[in-house]
Amino acid sequence: MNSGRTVLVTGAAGHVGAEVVHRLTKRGHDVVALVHDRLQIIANNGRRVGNVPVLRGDVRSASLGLNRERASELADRVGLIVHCAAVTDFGLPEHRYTELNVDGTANVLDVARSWDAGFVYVSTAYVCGEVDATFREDQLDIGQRFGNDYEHSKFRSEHLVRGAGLRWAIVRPGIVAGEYRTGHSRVHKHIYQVLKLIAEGKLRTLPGNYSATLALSPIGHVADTVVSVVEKFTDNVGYTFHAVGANAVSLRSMSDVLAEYPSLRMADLVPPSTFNPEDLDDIERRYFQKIGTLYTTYLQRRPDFDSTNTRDRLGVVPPSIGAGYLRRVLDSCLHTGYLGTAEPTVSDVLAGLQLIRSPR
Amino acid sequence: MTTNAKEVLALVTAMAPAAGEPSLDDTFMGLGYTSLRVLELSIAIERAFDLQPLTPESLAGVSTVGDLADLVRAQQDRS
Repeated sequence: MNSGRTVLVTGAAGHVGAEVVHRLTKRGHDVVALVHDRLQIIANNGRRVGNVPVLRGDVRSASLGLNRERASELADRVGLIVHCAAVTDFGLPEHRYTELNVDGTANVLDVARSWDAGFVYVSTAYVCGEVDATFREDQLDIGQRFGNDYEHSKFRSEHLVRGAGLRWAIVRPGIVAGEYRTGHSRVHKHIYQVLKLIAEGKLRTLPGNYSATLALSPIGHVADTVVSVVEKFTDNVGYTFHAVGANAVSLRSMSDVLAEYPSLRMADLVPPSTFNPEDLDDIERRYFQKIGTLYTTYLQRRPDFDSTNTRDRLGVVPPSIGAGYLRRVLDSCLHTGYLGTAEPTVSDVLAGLQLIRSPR
Repeated sequence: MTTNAKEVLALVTAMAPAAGEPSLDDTFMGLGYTSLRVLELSIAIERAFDLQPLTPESLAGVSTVGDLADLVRAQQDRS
């Protein structure tokens, strides 16, 4: 393998990528950050990560958008690529996931091969698909059905990584959430968006089960797991590491914690077999169709992720996820104004428009 | 400015996270809109102009308030 000591991180401006860059540089690693359009690397604590070279590139391009001179220089010094770049939004056309997550990974693998560099792939624990059983780190294809095209694209990418003939390791985060100690997250995507709509009473009824569980991954635990894999790469080639909390959290637990906050609402979960969007009022139905429907698969599953490799091979202890952590996440959302800030609703602004159209 | 554009601007102003007086040239990012708030705005737009649901793909090309007004006009022409 290339003996270069530099670590190239793709997707370095993203939530996970930036935190990985932050922690790697803090521990003295020589890091080069590859970004698409955002040139600043902002850690989860909101501070800009300085003293790290930032290169603009595009993993959808075979050369990653790097010119020949730059690629040649990097080939000499990069010993490891941490591939975080991915589209993680739900509800996009399938080709968007293929183009960036699958074909993009193939491009980065080709570059790693030409540079003779090792490869750390940031995947997702939800490559498990819609299973209600323990999913081990050494498992991948178990005949699962996928909840969405995003999960499927990461599954396909893991196959590419494993079959590339390179030295690789894979890290699988769950649902990335706020820092464990503070609950703070600088990014509010995925579960945060659903949480906001539920807490604000905009999604009041959803198809799901209170016994369903979410595998939350505090951002620091995800980044620490990646950093540990980087630092112990040679001993962990060919291994996969789950980066999720020590225990999944049930929707019943989430509901109980939300009930402690008078200003926040919790949706009623009804059996999927009895849920009909047509029973919702028009505005709630549109919220459900645009956002709620993207996440209902997560309100019905009970996956259990085994983290033996992470614990035993890396010595990274998955944090316990309980009511205390959920409270810290909610408190942080209230503190930053993500939750609890009254904003005009769709009904409010439509009533205002009506006044403009029909002035007295 | 057309009546439609004025009404789009009124809705954008009413739902904007940051106080101010937006113009058609302002970007949603500049007005403090998150992707979630843009989706909420799209619900108000659909209802106000009696449109079919605006898809993520159609909204992907919307950067400024003027882009949204153009999208509304295009959707109305189509129906």
